[in-house]
Amino acid sequence: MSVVPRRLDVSRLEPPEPMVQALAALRELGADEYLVIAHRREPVPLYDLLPGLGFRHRVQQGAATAFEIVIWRQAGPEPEAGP
Amino acid sequence: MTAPGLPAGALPGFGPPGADGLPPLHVPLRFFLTAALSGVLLGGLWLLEGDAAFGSRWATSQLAATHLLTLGFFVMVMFGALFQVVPVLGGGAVPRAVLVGSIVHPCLGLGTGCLAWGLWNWSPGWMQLGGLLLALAFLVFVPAVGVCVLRARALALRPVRLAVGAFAVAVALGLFLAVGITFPELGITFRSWTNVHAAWGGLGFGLLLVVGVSHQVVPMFHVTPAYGPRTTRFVPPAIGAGLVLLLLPWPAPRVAGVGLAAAAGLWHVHATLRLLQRRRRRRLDPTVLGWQCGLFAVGAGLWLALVDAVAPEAVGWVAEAPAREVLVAALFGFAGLGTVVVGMLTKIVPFLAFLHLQRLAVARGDFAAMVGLPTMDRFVGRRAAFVAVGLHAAAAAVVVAAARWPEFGRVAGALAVMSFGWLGVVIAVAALRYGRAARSIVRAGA
Repeated sequence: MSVVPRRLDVSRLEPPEPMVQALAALRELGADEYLVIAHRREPVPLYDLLPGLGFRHRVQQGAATAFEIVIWRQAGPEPEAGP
Repeated sequence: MTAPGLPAGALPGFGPPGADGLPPLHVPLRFFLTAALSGVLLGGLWLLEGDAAFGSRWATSQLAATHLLTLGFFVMVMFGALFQVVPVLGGGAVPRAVLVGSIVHPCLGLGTGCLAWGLWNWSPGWMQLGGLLLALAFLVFVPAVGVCVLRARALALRPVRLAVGAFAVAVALGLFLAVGITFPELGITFRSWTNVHAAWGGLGFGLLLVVGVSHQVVPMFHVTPAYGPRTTRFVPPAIGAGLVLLLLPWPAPRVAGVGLAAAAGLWHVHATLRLLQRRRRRRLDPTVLGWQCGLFAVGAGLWLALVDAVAPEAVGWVAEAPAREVLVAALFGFAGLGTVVVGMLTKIVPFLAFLHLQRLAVARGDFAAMVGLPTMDRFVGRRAAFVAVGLHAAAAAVVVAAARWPEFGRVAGALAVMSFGWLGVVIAVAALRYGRAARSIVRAGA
């Protein structure tokens, strides 16, 4: 099964909005989707939550923001590095 | 059923520190609430004494008011905030934070009260009792936090490390002055050393801590670019070096010390105001307003201190020499750091409430609760926050005027009572709303 990205840009939001929106997006994430968050800093507190919620993540340099955090289901395949 | 890790029947979030090193919410909140109470007492003192307090910095009532502001408000808020700031900046959890807080909070509060009462009535017995309680508070707090900031290597902690060191020096100078008052036969020239004590407390602890915290929270909370490396690298040690020069008992290095510390402080003020102008979200924000008003006042106070040290005749038109010292303190302290701190509290208190609720939802594995948490403005509304900052700015304007024209003293006192009283109500309401939200999460998961 191929997975498709759902993109979320939180780079202009004040805390705790990035965390709130990231959790809301994860809750709504479809079985065939993974989440790509554009952020100006690394959301370390979010990383701590992900394993307990059944997700894994990796960090890559963003196109327009300093960081892109790619999050996918533990049971699913890791998405390939995108543009 | 209670959350994992919490004792049965405990109010959620009022339990042991979490894995992230944050102590329970009641630890900082009790410090913040007592700080607001100290501010109300300070305003009440000015209301009673009026122009007698503002007529001379050496008036017993003004000495009492100064310590209610510095120890009762600033140190109280900053101690409470350090329990949260140190883990966030990479210093790890303050060891035994609940126990440390339970000892430090009453000792600091009662010690400040006894010292202020003793100074107001010039009663050495009350002053000594206050000094003992304060010494106990500092002897417990400074090593507990000092261990965290010294063992951590995070660059972000460098200004905090300097601030805690400066606080220890300010306390030592305060004890030195207390010995001079208790034993006048020793001939300690405590008036000249009082300025050094005030500089180590105000510039050393107060400004350095605000500098260190602003390096992190201004870009994070207000979505600005990061501070430049020259600002983060050079401002804190320059302030520290200036303060060291103040310890030398000769006029020339002391003038150089004031110049260096004030110039470094002005650099930081300028850098922060520029960053706030470049924030990505230009929405009017009470905390940003607090930063802007407060930093303008800090800058004005530092500029006046700088010119007064280098060329006092150039600022003779501002006020007579003794009144200029009161004016510097009013601008830098009450108006400057005070407005910054009030603005920060309207952001930090709801943020901490949110963070602790989130921790509770995570501990219960409740994904729905994590997503549906109340927003920050449900704890402190925007209008309430603007009123808090606006009231403090209004009080600050009249306190500054009273430093020049003491007949404004009673109006300044009335506004200070209103400002700090409102701040206390805002924090208390946030705490009550937090408790209600936490109980509802627990009930939903039971």
